[in-house]
Amino acid sequence: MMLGSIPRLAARKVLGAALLSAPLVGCFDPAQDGVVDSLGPEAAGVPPGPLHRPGQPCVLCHSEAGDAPPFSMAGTVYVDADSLTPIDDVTVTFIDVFGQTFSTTTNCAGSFFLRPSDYSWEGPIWVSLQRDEVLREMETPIFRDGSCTGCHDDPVGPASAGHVFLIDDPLVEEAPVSRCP
Amino acid sequence: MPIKIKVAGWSRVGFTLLLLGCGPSLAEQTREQGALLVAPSQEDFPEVADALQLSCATLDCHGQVGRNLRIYGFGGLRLSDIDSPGGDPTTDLEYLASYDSLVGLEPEALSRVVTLQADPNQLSLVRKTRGIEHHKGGQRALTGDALDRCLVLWLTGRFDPEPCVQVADASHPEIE
Repeated sequence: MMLGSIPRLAARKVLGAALLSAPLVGCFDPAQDGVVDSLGPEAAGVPPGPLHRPGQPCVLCHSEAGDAPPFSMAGTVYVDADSLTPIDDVTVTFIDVFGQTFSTTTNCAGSFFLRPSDYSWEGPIWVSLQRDEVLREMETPIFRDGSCTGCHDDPVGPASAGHVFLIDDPLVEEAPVSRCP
Repeated sequence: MPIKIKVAGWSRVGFTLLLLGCGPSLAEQTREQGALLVAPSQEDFPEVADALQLSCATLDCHGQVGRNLRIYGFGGLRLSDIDSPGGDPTTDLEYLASYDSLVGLEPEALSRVVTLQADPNQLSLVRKTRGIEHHKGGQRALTGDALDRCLVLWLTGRFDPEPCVQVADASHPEIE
């Protein structure tokens, strides 16, 4: 009798552990994990922080589903379409469907980010970039994706607009100069 | 050992007919219905597509190849490998591809709306646009506003370009 109860007890423990861990297992999203893994490790010498991983889909990790503080919108601005030189001190202004506006500025990695407590937007949201005399307005609004790279990935192709940039052609327009040390 | 399937009442009759192959096959039913299906005007669609372009077809919404409703055009997904978003105007082939995608969503219901003036809310397309049915992109139109009139008047065979142009010409809002 006692011998029979031991496997039963073990089975109960296993079942209990499985039931307790089921919600945790359910939190993993293999699709998201796969995309995060594909981004690779941190760049050498750049610790996690406001300057890390420029040009990557920030909101992938910086979301409720990710493991970093959530952003409602984030991205990186480069000088022009052909180079990957980031540009700082660009004012990024948003206006959403309710006319709520918010502005922020790019840092020395060319990146900006908004936390939900700063600006919780409702699409469509329109974006403009300004650095001194240069003003660039996005041609189409954003509806869902808080990561600029979601649509603005490189290379340019049928389903991607290429990275976000400030001026069209540095040979024609004066390229803004970085104010970062 | 033979497998015994327990079937009762009318189900037994249906099951027997199914086994005998008395009912029309799925392919036959589809052909029968397909012959009667009518879609909205393809000729008027470019204006509708231009209106949908800014409201629905950005790269983060229906400008994606993974969507049932897939809208191609100048501001989003391009059909040709040599085109890119924000580049050249929408091509005729893109209008055609978007039209095919839209009319293929719910062909029977769409045909009823076109030919019988059935309630456009029978279409998931309209319910989602109006926010009646859950839509990840939220409510995109209110009943009677320009986008709604553009879409519904076209669906019901009473196309009016004016509301479509009104939507397509909406510019970047001014920031105070």
